Amino acid sequence: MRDRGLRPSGRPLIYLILSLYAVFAIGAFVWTISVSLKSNPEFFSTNPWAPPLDPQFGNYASAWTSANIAGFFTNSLLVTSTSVIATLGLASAAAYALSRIEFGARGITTGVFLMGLMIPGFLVIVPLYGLLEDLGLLGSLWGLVLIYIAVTIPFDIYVLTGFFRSLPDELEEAAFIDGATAFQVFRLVMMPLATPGIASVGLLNVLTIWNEFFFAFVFLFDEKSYTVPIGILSLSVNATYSAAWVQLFAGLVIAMVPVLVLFALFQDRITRGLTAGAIKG
Amino acid sequence: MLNRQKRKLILPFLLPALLLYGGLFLYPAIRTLLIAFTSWDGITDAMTYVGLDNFAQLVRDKSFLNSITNTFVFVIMGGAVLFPLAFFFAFATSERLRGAKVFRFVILAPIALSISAVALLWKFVLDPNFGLLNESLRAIGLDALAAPWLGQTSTAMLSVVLATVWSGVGIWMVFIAAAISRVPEELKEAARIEGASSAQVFRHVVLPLIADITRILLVLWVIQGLQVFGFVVAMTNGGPLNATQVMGTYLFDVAFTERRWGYAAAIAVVMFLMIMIFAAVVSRLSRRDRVTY
Repeated sequence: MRDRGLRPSGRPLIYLILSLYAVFAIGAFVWTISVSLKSNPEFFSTNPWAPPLDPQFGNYASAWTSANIAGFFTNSLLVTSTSVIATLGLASAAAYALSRIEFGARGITTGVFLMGLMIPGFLVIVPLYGLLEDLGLLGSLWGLVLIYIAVTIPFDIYVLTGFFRSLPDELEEAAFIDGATAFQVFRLVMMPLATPGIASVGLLNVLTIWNEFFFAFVFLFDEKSYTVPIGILSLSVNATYSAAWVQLFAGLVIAMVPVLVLFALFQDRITRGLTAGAIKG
Repeated sequence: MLNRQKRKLILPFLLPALLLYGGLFLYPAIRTLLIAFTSWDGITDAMTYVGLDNFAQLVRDKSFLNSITNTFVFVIMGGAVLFPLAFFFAFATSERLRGAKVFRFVILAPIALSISAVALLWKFVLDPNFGLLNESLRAIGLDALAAPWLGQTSTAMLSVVLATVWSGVGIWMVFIAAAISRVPEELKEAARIEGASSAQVFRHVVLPLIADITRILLVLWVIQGLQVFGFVVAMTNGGPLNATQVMGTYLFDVAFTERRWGYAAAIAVVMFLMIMIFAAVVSRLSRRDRVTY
């Protein structure tokens, strides 16, 4: 099975285009880091390719504290972890029921949940605003958490029902014969088997919710409650007026680096999760 | 026997998810459909039924029509940049190149960044005075090309498109690569034995076989593009002079700046109908995906 590969003349062109793209992407990133270590006057006066004269690590400290990026991260961590854990719990239970328990209304209930896959955010935003207002949860991070759970449930159920259905029946039966209750069968037999699927979908949830923009933008008002995406947005709006440019660059680096590191570590698992969804869908 | 025991679990397992999802997602969606037929302002309790007035007004609303145009400009421009790039990347990174892993990371990593981080990065790069692009152009003497990318109507939407594509192209590359991997190796091998180069194999064997999936991906892109919101808000906020005002941002303005909820709901319904139409196209196309090898 000899693979002739590309014609010799084709390869350099491909390398060239890929490299140009990579150079631009990495270049923009390197530039951001370089500027974040300069001082404001230095940024305005020197050319962008000049490395920083005297690395201003203080920019990072000031971005973390006085620009309140620490707060944004705390909020995002809180919101993301609570939402994902709660959604996974609720969706796993529901997916198990919908895929491995026989009952009459099973088809309709599954359909009701899957309808949510077709509902875009802007279709619910107006009444949802009124609803949160009535509940006194406007501007609250907990209100946002509830929304995130509600809108993530359809996708998780969609993925997890397929996954649960693929698990073998024999182990359930065996455990039951050994005297386990139905709940114990779920908790001690099925859930451990479902862990890889739950982990994959959970990882995708973390990525989606951490970066979620629309609902956070509409429902968060106070800088103290901003999640990272909205916090960065507010900083960029304010900095244009106060000209605290280099701190803003530092803030941007802080916002980007942890996620990129996480992505580098989990790239394979994430890609596998996306591909599985692509092949199924 | 086991199933009878399991049935006790049905209510506690389903109810919490059903209540949250139903109350905070499904019910508001239905309510929007109802509100669209009223003149509610969202503040007072007065919800007067006005029939199809909101929709009649939308048809004559120049700002709304402008936002539809801009949205489609985004979708078309975006698709034109995204798909060739994603196909190229899918092809290029599937070849056994040195450093394929690095390239794949560079292409894919931006999907992990939040919209506002990507938007801010591009705003910096495109800044007319201190941005990387213009400063680099000036450094090599191409001052004339340095433009206020986000500040002029002719290039603002293109800038938003580029940022959006840059951040998302990785996912589409993964989808296309997955589709390509479904093409049986024997067919590619047969072509190679005939003397075709990899590029020819790709163009004449692989591409036609993934045509159906490509069509589906195109429509999915349209559905996604119709809802563009975050990048516009973070980069241009609809400007300059409404050149980048899209349906999503217009809806936001009407709902929360002008506080006309009935009208906003009508906009939401129209957007939803557009998406439904394209979604129907997708399901029709995917039923045709029965290519027999």
